[in-house]
Amino acid sequence: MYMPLMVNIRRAVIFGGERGEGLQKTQKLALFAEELFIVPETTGVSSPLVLPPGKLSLVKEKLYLPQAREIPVHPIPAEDCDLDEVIRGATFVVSDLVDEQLNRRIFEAGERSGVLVNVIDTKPLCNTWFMSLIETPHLLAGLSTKGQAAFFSARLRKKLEPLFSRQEKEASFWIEVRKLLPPGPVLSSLSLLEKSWTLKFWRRCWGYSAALRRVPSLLKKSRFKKLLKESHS
Amino acid sequence: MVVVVGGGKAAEAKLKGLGPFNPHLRVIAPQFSPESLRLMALFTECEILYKLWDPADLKEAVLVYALTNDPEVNQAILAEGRLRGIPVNAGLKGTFRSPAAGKIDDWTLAVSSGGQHPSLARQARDHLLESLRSWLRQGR
Repeated sequence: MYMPLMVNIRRAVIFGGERGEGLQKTQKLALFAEELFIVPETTGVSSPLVLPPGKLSLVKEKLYLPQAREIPVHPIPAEDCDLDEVIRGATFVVSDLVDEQLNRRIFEAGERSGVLVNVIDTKPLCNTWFMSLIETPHLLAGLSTKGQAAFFSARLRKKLEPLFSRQEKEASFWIEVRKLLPPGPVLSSLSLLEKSWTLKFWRRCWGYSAALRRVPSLLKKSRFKKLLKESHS
Repeated sequence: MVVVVGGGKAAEAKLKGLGPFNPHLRVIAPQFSPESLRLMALFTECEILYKLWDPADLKEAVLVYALTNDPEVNQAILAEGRLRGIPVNAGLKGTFRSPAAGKIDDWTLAVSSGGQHPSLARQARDHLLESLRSWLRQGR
């Protein structure tokens, strides 16, 4: 059974990854991994791969790279390198090599080291899946069918996007509210404010900015202070 | 195998989240709350160890949740996980986070606020799951 996780990718190793689906994964990982390393195919590139800033047009998701990123390339091609040595210390390994035997060896080396591995388009050689992503400044959502219906997943992602941007407005609002809270039991205050009908009414009728201006006066009300004291005790 | 260290409120919340995915579970704590014991009984494979954590418990683990009420113990678990290359969830300091997740048939949906506002992530997940459910119903 697969469970969704948000992993802090310290080091990702990409075998191939210079074109097509592999390049897409490289671009996606360029946004999240602290360190990226490419091991080329036998005839692959030998100079660093440079990803330009801005919208990564080849990535289906609307993800942006804030600045150009140079990804180092291993001097020895995948076929001849010591796989265990290259994989050691990696959090995540991706391969889009043509050589099926080599892909299997990469998967096995990853499994031996307990590393997350995704061999593109080869389900039996994956212990990890990429989710279809929707990203806003404060929220990140992933949608997956374990690779069963990627085209449908992309279609549904498009449908969910507008709904998700509404959730983002809500998230931005609560993050701003959090900044207004006095020191103390933040979670209890937030939970009380979430239940506040006044705040709901202001959000619905006058929008988020107006509701946000209303928060300081709500926090000063003696009823709020009393409820906060009760919830804390 | 997923290892959960702790048997209190935090462990209860995590066990609830893990429920739909039914992983092979190992839960370690000197004592457990009645609710966490009830939740553990819902997993197909669950080892319950009534003891203090020690590094050997992370053997065969692919994920670890450090949920004790002692920050020093959580830190030690995180350090051990880093040493072994196992992702560890230890609040905001861990190497992985569990997003608010849900499943409908083969579909999995996950929403994360990067630990900033978990209740909002859960709320967003519920809204999105509801929409996904109705669209899937229409599409089939």
